Amino acid sequence: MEERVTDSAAKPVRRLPGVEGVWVFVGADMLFFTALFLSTMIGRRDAAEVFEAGRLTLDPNYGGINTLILLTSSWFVVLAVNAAKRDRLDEIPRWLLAAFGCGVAFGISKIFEYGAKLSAGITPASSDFYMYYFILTGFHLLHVIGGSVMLLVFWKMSRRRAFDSRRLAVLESGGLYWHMVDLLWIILFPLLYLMK
Amino acid sequence: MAALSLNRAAVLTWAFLVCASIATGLLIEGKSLSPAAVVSLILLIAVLKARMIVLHYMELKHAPLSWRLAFELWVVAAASLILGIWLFTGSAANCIAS
Repeated sequence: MEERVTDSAAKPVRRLPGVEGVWVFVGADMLFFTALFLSTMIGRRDAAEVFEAGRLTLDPNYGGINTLILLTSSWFVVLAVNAAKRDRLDEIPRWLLAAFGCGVAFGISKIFEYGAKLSAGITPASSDFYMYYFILTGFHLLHVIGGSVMLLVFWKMSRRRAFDSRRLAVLESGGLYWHMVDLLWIILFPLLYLMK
Repeated sequence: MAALSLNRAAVLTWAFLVCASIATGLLIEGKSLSPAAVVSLILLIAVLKARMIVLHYMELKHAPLSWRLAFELWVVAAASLILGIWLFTGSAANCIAS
């Protein structure tokens, strides 16, 4: 697939990071979440007051902290990829471990958030709002857990020097998945926690 | 130097994303704007953040244009669908107030 570069010749060649198949997988996952976003909005249309009453019981501070955790985690993954690009191999495991730590922090904050809801007697069956809330955040949390396991595996691989400037595809593909988890939360957070 | 500027770009992207998140926090605390304005601005900020992630974290800025456009289109389409349905069906806050 040749890309024509029409403007300045100084521009770098256009390149898709990672493996193309992972992009297709990520795109499909994003479409799946888009369907969840849409059904949430349609559910909300049919029960606006139930949704608003449910939303008001959510703590936006949890969501805000989750946002900062994921943004920072993605940044650490970018730094790990950058370290691989310039063959600074000792840096890669450090950044990956930091990113993994953020994933764990996200999980712990979700345990507290779910725990508070469940101990208040709130379950997915409590109302339509909570059904969407638990389904969307639950699917997202599964992605965070999967991604965290991946980061841990990458951390071990990077300690064995499996990634460098000529072996980037796996690290970049995993990073891409992790950025998608971040990207989905950027939409999911206002949808459930912030929209009146 | 090129390597340094890579990390410099990464920290700038991160700083933008954090500032935008803080802006969202200030918006929901404010009382002067109408719900429609707040929801529109919150989603606009979400689009800007999502676009930064797509272009700089996912590195689509320098990817083949078809890939870049597909992901940028998703960001705009997802937010537009949410805002469109919200505006079309009316604010839940208004339902409760009335």
